[in-house]
Amino acid sequence: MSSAAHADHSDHSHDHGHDDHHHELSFWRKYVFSTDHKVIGAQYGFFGLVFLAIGFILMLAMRWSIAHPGEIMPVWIRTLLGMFGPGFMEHWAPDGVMAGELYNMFGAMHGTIMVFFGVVPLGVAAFGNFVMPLQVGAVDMAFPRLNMWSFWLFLVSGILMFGSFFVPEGAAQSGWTNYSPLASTVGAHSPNQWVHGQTIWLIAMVFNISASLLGAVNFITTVMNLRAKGMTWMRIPFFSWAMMVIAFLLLLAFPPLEVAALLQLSDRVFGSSFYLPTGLYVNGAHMDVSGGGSPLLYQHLFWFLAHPEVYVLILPGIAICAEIIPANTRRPLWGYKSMVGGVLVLGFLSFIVWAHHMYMTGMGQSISTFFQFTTVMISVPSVILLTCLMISLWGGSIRFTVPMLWAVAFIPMFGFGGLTGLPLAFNMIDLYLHDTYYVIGHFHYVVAPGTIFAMFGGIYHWFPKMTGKQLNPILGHLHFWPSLICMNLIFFPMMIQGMAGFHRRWYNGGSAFPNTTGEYLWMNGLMSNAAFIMAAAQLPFVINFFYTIFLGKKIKDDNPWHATTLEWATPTPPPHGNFIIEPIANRGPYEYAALGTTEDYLPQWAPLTDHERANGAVDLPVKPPAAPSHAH
Amino acid sequence: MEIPYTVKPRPDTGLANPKLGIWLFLASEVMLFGGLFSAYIFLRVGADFEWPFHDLIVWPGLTNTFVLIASSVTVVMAWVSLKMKKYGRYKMYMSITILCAMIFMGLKSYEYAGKFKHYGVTLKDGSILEGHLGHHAQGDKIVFGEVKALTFSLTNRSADLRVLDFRAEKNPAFDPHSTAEGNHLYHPVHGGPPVKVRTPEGDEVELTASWLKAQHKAYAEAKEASYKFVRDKMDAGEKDVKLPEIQVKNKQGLLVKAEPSITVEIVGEPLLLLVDERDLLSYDKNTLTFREETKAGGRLVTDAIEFIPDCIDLRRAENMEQSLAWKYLGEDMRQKFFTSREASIKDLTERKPWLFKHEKIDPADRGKSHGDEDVKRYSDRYNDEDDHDWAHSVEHDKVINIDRADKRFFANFTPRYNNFYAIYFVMTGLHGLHVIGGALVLAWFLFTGRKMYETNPEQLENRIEVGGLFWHFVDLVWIFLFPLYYLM
Amino acid sequence: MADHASPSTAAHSDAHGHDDHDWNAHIKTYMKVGAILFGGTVLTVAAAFLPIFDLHHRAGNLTLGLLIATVKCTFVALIFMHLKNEKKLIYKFLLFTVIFFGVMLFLILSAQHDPIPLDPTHNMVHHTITHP
Ligand code: HEM
Ligand SMILES: [Cu+2]
Repeated sequence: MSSAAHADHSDHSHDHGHDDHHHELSFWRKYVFSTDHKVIGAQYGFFGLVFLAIGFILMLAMRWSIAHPGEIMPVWIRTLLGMFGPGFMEHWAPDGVMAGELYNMFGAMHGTIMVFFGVVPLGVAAFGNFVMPLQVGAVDMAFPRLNMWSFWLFLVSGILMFGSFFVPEGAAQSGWTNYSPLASTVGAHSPNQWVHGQTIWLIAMVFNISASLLGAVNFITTVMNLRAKGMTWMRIPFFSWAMMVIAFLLLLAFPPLEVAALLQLSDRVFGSSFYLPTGLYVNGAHMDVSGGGSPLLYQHLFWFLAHPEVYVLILPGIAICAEIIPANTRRPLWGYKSMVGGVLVLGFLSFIVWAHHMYMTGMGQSISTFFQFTTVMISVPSVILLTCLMISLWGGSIRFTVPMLWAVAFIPMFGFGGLTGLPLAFNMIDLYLHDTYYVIGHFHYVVAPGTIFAMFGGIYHWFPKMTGKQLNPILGHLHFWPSLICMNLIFFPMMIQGMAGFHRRWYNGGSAFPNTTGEYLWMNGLMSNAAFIMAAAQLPFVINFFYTIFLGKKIKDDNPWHATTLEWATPTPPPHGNFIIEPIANRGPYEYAALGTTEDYLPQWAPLTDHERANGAVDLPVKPPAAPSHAH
Repeated sequence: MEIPYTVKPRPDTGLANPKLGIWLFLASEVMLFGGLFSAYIFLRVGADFEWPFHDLIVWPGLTNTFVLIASSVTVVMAWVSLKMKKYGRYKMYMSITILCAMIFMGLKSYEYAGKFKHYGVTLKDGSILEGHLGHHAQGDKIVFGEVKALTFSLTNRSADLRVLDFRAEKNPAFDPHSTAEGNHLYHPVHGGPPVKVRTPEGDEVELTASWLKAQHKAYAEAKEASYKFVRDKMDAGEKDVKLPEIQVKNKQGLLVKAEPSITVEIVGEPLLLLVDERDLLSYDKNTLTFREETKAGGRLVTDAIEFIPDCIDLRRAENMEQSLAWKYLGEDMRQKFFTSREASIKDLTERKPWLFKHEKIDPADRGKSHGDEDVKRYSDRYNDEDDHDWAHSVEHDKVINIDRADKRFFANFTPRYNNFYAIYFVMTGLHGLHVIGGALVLAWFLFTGRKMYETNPEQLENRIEVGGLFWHFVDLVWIFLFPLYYLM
Repeated sequence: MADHASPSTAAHSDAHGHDDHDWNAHIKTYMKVGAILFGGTVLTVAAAFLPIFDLHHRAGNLTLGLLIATVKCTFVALIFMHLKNEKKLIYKFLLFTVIFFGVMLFLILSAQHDPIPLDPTHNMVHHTITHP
């Protein structure tokens, strides 16, 4: 609301923006309660990585249980689980063996943390916050104080979510989807509903959603209203376009989830029956509620968000690759306009496909057909985006820098994830594959070797801008190659197991059903070992990250990749207020190999070339003559 | 560094940041309330209970509608006054707006309070009695006396001393014929005296949280010792290690088997407990089991629900003639009910047939055609407004004691009662939060606006406009809430 | 392109672009709208209590009541919230919001109550359970 509008007000006369007339901020205001979009981006990024690591550790324990059901966890996994502090494992796994209950808890929290506390904060909030305002040439976000609130709400939600492990009955156990009636009835007997993990999940989500909403308003306003001079719609880099579309998805799809969460909260703590049908039996007893509700209402409200949410998960990946690829092929992004069109159509369509997650619920046939149709339709813009990225490689003089490795790997991995999703769009096939490991394999291909790879690429790509230091490429290779191999060893066998009928959420990996699963059980060990090796493969990254931050050498160049978008026009790292020169966009975002220059790239902020002038381009009115660092 | 367009609009979009921001926010609010409206319609269309119709009293809702509309006018007038540079008028209009918000919330809490005090019992056969709790003896509480032993679970991490909070005492001066306030048979004891108990080992201790914690800790440590033994063996490669018995040291320093719960005897006066059924996992004549698995051993005094009915609703009863309701209300009431029902059906079918758009009604066919369903809906519900005598007796606390075994469901008119009240509370509650939030922001503008008015009036105008937009939105939501809940 | 750096040089159009405006005319409009809203409220109540429609089917009353509410809502949005002369950008995203709201309402409902049952024997409606 308006209270967040920047309070101090220009007197319309002095030439501002270039002098840092702000007094020195205290440490707290500068790094903790900062309103600077770059600091907030870094904060989001840090906690996003922390949560990704937590989600990853939970997964390691789960994978152990799948491959070695009933066996004691090895010491190194128990050591990693020491992150919960003393007392936790003693209570939940006293003999060191993962029990089904604990697996459920870890599974639900792995999904929740990865999606809402890992990928979205890192992919959208961190990259979006740091890069997007720079790319559109803004001095900051439109509402810096809202931005700070967004981060702190997120942090509160993260602390609540993680803290829910420690309440007497432990964290949520009903999957990241939190379906009712299960999620409404788990622990319904516990004396205080407010301190049950399942309830805290809901409260934490309400905070998380509020944070996302504030962020979304900020993102959209910034792109629409704070664009630099000359930054017309069709000159906005694809990354920022994608961020705006994502923000719209968050803005309009998250509120129904908030509704879903509030209604479930009411079911849990006020005893209502929104999602509880009449005559519900739980634990052999008639549940003492009025009934008359519908579990499907929850699923609708949930998936109304959660389908757009999967685009929130993958669009940052595509968007990051759309920046990395042109910079490393030294060619313009192929089909920039169709990509922008594609992402807009994708955003729209993502609101009308949600019930493809609900084919099993016995919807009417015509409505199933409708959702089947829209789901198939939405693959068109997705394919456009991916194809444009792929064609962008064609004929380029590719530099296989570390970020480029991740981006190039992203294309087939995401492609595989996307294509394996198509069969699921069809009602008949989904009835068979629903809730199997095929689905797990499919969406993990999209988010893990997909988005996560792209985000690693993004980290390697923008790290020099954020810190002024370059991550070590050798360690980068050591990080990339094992990760690539392991990812496929983990997720490819899942597709096979899924088709063989392995059900998801089995804590013992199917060993209880040897008649059906027997032939394929051996894959569990392969996948789990690959996951463990992949954990080790993240060490080079961790070392690289901290080593470079603390001991790395400063780079001299503000634009080390010789890229064209405005974030590279700032000093390194960018100061408060971002730009020293006045940011302008004289041309489109991906002018590589352009005519009229001797270099192989022409940044958006470079003065007009003779060639452009000859084609009728006119200089924008810029005040200071200070030349950008890469004027040619 | 200065962010552009915080006050003046950006030429190409034509919007200043706050304006753009608030409209985006309102778009998401549309989806928020949109989700709730969808839920409302979904629940209503699929309801398998009688969706209440004209159950909420109209006048508070209607008054609130007028109040909110008035406030919408005043908030826009406040903005115009600023535009016209009339600060005094602005202040007046803004104050009225905030006053309206306060009236709105006042009425709202009045309405809510009424619902908390109103109860409904669904009997086993689907008959519903609505009314109030009798408050002379036990109300809706279970009375459990002569408690001499308590058992605390040592494995349930929620176990605590909550059981002591349910203590009550019997009022020896209770006069069953008096209706005076405070004439109760059982009094809850708030923060009663400490309780002394005898442990299994024969010690007398005071029951305190730290004592219970120490028991939990001792058990957890003993358990961990046994499990550590297992883990170490398994780490060393052994398979199928058996868990050794969990043991603790007793008073003599000998190792004995550790029990997963501890039972203590009350020293001195046995306890009397007044418990809400919902705090229990189960109960029988001699034991209460609380949700945290604490057990109390004693004697069940009564578990009847003390109730003052003022409405009989037999629309979902299995058999109206033999409804369980008559067990409590008696033959007299039964006669009255059916007389009234017949009169009502006659009235509706013969004299006001246009109300239901149907030609004839044959009681034998009742429930087959839609029109008949509607007449049934209307006539099978009988309340004290239909019956002056009954209303009179309600005023004089005609208490019945409903056997808990006869009830299927019991609740006050909170979200628990049914999904109509559930969605009513969620939607109006969320709307109320918006009213409070909006009013706080507007009040903040009102009380801190003077300085900004002098230095930068345009920014204040913008703020009021933005705040006003939010306020109008809140009004908009109510415009739909009012007919959906109070009228239709 | 606008002069990004200093708002003062930007076109001096305020959101409504008329400081020299006859505000009294505005006030009159607002008062009129206020009166319409009050009147509309009375009508809504009447619509619910007057036996103009099938009282206990409620469909008629519901439609009429919601129709009046929609009209009231339109007045508030167009005039109090100045949507009548708002910028295109806002129309655009509000349009999408309204579409998505409609989609949510309609599709959720029709997933439960199939509007075009292809095979009526297969039209499963889960909530036909009655009291046990
Ligand atoms: C290398 C990385 C990852 C591995 C090895 C992995 C592995 C797994 C495994 C084993 C499961 C449990 C399957 C089951 O029992 O049903 C799972 C579930 C899940 N994972 Fe991952 N995961 C990884 C990364 C991610 C990421 C990055 C995301 C999110 C963006 C994610 C989201 C989920 C979700 C939503 C579930 C479903 C949880 C549920 O059943 O409710 N995972 N993952
Ligand atoms: Cu989906």
